[in-house]
Amino acid sequence: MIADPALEFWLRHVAADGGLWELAGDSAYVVLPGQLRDAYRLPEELQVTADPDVAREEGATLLTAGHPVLAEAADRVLVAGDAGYLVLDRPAAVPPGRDVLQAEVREAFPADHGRIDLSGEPAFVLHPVVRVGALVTYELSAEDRFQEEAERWVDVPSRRELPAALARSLSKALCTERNVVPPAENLLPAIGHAHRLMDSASVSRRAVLSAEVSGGFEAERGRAAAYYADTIAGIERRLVASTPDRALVLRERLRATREEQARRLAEIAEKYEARHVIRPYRLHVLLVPALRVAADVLRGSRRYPMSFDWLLPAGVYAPVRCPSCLAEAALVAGKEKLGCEVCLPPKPPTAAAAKPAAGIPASAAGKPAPVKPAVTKPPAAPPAAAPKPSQRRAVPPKVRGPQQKARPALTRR
Amino acid sequence: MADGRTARSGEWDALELYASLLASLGGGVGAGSVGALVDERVSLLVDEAVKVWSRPGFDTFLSVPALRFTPFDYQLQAARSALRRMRGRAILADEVGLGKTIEAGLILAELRLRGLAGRTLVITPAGLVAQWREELERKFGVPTTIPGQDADRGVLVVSLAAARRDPLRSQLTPESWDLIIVDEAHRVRAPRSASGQLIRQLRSRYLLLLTATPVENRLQDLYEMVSLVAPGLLGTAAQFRAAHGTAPLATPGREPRNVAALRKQTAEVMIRHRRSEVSVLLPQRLAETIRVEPSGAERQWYADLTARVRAEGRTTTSAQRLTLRSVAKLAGSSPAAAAPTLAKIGWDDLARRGSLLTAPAKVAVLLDRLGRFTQAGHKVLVFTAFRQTLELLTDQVPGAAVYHGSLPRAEKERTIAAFRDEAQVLLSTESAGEGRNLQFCHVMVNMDLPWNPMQIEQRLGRLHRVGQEHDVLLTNLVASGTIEEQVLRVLEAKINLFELVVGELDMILGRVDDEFDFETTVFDAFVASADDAEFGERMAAIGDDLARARTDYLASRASIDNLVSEEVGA
Repeated sequence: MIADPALEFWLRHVAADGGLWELAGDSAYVVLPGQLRDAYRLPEELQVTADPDVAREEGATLLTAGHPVLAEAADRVLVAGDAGYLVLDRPAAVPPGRDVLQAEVREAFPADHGRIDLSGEPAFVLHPVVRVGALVTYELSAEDRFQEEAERWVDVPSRRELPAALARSLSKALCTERNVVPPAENLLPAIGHAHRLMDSASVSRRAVLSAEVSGGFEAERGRAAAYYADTIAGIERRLVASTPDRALVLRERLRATREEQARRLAEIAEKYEARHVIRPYRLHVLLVPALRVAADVLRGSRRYPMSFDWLLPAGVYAPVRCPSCLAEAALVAGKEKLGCEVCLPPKPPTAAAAKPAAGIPASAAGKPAPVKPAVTKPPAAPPAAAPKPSQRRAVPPKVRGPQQKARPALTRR
Repeated sequence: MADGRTARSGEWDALELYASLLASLGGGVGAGSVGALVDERVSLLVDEAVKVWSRPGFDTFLSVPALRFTPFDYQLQAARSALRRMRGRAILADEVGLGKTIEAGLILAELRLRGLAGRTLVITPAGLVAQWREELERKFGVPTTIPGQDADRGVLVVSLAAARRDPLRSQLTPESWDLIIVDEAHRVRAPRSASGQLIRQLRSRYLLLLTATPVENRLQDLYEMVSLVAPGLLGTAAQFRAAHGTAPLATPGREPRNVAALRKQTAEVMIRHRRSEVSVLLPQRLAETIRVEPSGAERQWYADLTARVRAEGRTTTSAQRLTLRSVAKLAGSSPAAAAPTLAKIGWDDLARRGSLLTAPAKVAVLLDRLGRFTQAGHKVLVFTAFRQTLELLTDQVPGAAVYHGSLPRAEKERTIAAFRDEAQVLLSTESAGEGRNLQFCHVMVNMDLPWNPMQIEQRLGRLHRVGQEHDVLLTNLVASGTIEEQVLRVLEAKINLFELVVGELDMILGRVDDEFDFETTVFDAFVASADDAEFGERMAAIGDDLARARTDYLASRASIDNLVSEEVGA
């Protein structure tokens, strides 16, 4: 029985690449295909185990945590990555009616100075969402390296990050579609946005982690400073009582030590220079069954047509951007265009308007409506639970502890 | 990558990271093509790969529980970096005395335990072969072997001098080694030297180069060193020269160019710790030398003996010469020590006279010193190189614990325990304290002085080691007019032997000459000299060589510090 998850992974990897293996007690006999034989510099047939005693007694190759072959296999798998489309199943439940869809769209997208009316019958579409997963390696010093998993879900048409609840909901949706699908369009901006979100969060995270190791920096710097101070003091003491010949040597040593002191202190500062590296390994494009509803944003007699996608598995609308400036802000029905609080900012209050008539709401008295918070949400905390793979669901994002021990950044060999 | 909507400026660079994933999506991202579905098995495998990658791996040393000592954190860290970040090919360039051998041993033990270093070769200067074998076997439990013995998966330890010549060379080079460790690896740096050619002909998956001086006078030194473990890391030789210059390191105003970039590159394969950054503090060494005036009979006996050694040494075979050297060394310890050997080689008159000298002047001085030390409450470790002298002293120092290599293991343990708990004095041959904790004692007396300074260093190392809380006081007893007196004069005056930092002596001796053997050099000088005055002059010349070697060593240390940063992450 193979009890080591790393070796289990390796055996599965071998099988996925065309190799064969079978259990033999606490070890396994493996037949490697040519490409893996070359890659791992192993013989075609070998016995592997994760048990050091079995390795010693039976002469089996010990493949256990940390073995370079396992790391190389993991690297190889991550280099190939996990990319593809997932077509989520349309829920069996009856879709919401027109009234519900209208009420929900008004609730989800309040338009200042305007009102949203549905203008046509809902049409079934597949709405694309990208899920990007990556390993982020933080190097805070030569010794302090942390690696964390990062994941972002971004709505493709709007290039907006999905709220955590929506991502969680989609990750739990069933997915039984087996037919190939036409690729979604406009993926690159969405992927680029997902990457930017990860990078931005990584910068903040790096700052937090750096603060945690600053004690190490201070300690090392202090240790080095004390060491050199002591050494220099010692040489100076000996210099006082030395003969002229000896003094020459000591003065040279003093100079060299002072130079060394300056170099070392500079190096210590350099050593604690923090950085991070993002290494993507997952790119899923989820095609979410949705009802596309055509609508008009009305301001008086003005009509601004727009469409919204009701995501059936989640029971919410997909996010949208301002149709005029693409900002992530609340809609504003202007006199000349449909915009948002960014491209159609509220006018500054005038002196007269600043004093509303008694009993009249401020907005009705000419005071600009209070600015609604931008729809942009802070980077969503990823959902916690992962569904069982056998359910063939889009796997939810994972949460990893901040102090997780680091691994070297994955690199293609 | 035309797409309907534009990505932000700068994101295109980032998108290159996704190129292979985008390719796997299938059919590009344009209309009319076919996309690939997510493969559930691939997703699972990738999730597992992430876990494997994040597992502790070499962070967790499987071999540590089996070690017979506790390594320092920085040594474990170095081994970890070499195994993980450097993938088993690294230059271990710690300052002298910080335990490069330990770091290499940790890597070796870990690789062996994981079945990755079944065929391991250690190449070391001839004088360190025995020390390597002892360290690997005693500290790491790794069996070793030497050429001609049954390998049986043991680590093969060879001297560089033997390895670079046939027949050993032609035995080693066709092999495919798992791991090669080269101690004092600066000796294999030069590509055109016999040693350099040897290392370039050997094949190994893992390679550890151990040296405290990865660069000396030329920047090219560093290039050659790095290129051994990571060929191409620094580009071609021409590219390297173009990037960093060619001036000798000591040339004022012509410092290497792009030093920061060079440091960053070398840090990918090189680990260097300095004393200033590790919390390994050693106490001071305080040395005193007592020159003892021998009695008239002693002096005459010694003069007659050495004259005969000198006379016969000029004409004898090399095997007999070795015996003569041994006799001269025995005579420096005590006449009683020399007597049996003298009788064995037929120098009966000298043997008889020696056996009558049962109370040499040095013994009287030793007893006086021991009295002072023990009255002050100090425990004292007395070293002699010879069993005969040990027996002589055993009679003279009642109550002393007595230790030598022939004692059964349990008896050795009991002797050390007795010294720790009861006896004030331990009389011992060289084997005392190997792998044992003697830090409760900090006073040492050398009843005789080994001609090999490394042996002196090893004696000192029994007490002057991490964990010692007191300054270590060393007393050398040396009889006037002896070869030992000349040896001591050179070592003290020219290289301040007893003030050196642990490990520096080896650096200095190694710089005199690739195959420099101090003991042989001393004996050769003695035999070649017409009289003691000439011997003194020859010894002074040897001392000058040592002094130059020390100056070179100090100069190169500064160059290294400038060019080699400590473990900066790659």
